[in-house]
Amino acid sequence: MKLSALDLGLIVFYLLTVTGLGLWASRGIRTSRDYFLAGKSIPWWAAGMSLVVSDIGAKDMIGLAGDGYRYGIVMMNFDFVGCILPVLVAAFLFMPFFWGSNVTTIPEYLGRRYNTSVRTFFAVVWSLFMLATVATILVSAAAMFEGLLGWSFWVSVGVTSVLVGIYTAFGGLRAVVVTEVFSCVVLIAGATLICVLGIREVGGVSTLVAKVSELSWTREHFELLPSSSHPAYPWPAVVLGLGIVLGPAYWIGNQAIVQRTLGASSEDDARASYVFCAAIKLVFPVLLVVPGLIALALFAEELGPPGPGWDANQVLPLMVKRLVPPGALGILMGAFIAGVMTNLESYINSASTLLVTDLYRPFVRPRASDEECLALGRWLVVGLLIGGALFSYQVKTRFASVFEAFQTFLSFFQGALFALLLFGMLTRRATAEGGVAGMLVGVATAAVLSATGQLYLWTAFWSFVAASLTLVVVSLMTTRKSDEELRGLVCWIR
Amino acid sequence: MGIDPGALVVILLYAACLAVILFVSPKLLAPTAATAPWWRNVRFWASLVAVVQMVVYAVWG
Repeated sequence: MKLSALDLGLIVFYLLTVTGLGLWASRGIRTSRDYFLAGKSIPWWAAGMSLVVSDIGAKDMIGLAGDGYRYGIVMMNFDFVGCILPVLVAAFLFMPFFWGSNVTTIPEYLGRRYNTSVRTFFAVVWSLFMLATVATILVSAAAMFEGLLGWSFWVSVGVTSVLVGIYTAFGGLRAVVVTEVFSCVVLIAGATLICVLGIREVGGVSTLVAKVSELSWTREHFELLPSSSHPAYPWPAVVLGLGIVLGPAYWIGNQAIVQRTLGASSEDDARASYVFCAAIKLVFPVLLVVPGLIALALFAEELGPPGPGWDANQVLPLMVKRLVPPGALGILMGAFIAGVMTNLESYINSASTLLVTDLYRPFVRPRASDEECLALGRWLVVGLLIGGALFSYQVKTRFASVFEAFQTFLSFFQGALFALLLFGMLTRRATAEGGVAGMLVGVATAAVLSATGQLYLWTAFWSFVAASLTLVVVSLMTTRKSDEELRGLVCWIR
Repeated sequence: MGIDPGALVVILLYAACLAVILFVSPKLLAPTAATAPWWRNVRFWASLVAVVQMVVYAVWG
């Protein structure tokens, strides 16, 4: 596909603006606290917009359009049930304890609440997960660049990595948040643009509904909560797996998410940022899933019915290629690049924070100076980008849908993590031994269920149940920490 | 036309969430949060978002 001069100009303008903003925000970074927590200076609105684009990025634009084509509006539940609900609860019930305990990372909180084993386990798991996520995001980027510009996979991955690395390595969380605020606006504009152009091409919303409903495989495409016999997203799995386990674990236990609120300028700002994020999420999932329905109405013959080997990642690039006129393509490419860069920088920055705070400082060099940690954090950004790029080819060749890959990674340990956070924050009775046992049983259950081919939503739910039961039983048989040791870490002891 | 069981469960979850927002123990909130006017009150806006979601699932769920 050939880009017009206007399109290229818009893309270059976007890239220069983001890089400039990132480098501008990098000034005055002198301590590791400045680098990892932005010196605790982020206002609520910036943290809220940053939360949105830390979660929604290229993988969602590509993945949700493809899954919207395959499954319909049920995919909106990933935000309606899996985000808004836990975010609101987190703002009022969980966030005060992360804030009050003055930690930098979630594993650090778990270490203080349980013990070092739990902290180390989740630090390692999260680091590996973030590396996998970086790879997944790079695959999304490559899918778009291959489809639109004809770039090879490795050229796409290389260019994306270098662009993000330039300012993330220097600026830390502050640069990440500043660029994410700008990118959030661009992302919403781009997603709105494709919806407006697509619906206009189809002939309006009612025509869209009629055309999609005519197809033989779209019986439940307009069911927000499909029947319990749905092959991928039966409503009980959506509510229990996503609403009760995966959503809360992601929004309460994900370092890339919580780090923004920990960097907020006050506890009130941290809470308001969560609520602002929830408000934006009332609209965003519609903008991401509707393109899949538009593709069904316009290109169903060309794309065909989803089946084994069907590639969900081709939907959005095809739509962009066919629907977007010159000039508007530049805005859309800017939005897509925004999605890639914000997601990448979020996960790389958070992985770097985890590795320095939870692994390097406690185990490698307990007496490391602040300057040393700051320098290491920057080098780790570069290392993680290279590692993610190398791993991205594996992700590309082994998973049909990028979004499914992302959720599968999550389901392995989210159940156990949420059980530990829930019982750790809400009850003083959870013990260190109970935490370790719950963690191991939860992850083992997820591994077994996943190996036997269970839906990942059920895998997450049953691993949460197994981890919770184990934690409770073992905690009742072992000695708990004193109230003084738990002060600031448990809901009822502040 | 009744509400599907799935939608009903989600609405109940949001109702529980609303209860947490409205009746959350005042000691969990910073002192400034309790005295803010409605337009700066985070609990008001959070409640509004929860109610919107309940309506979404009641109508389209």
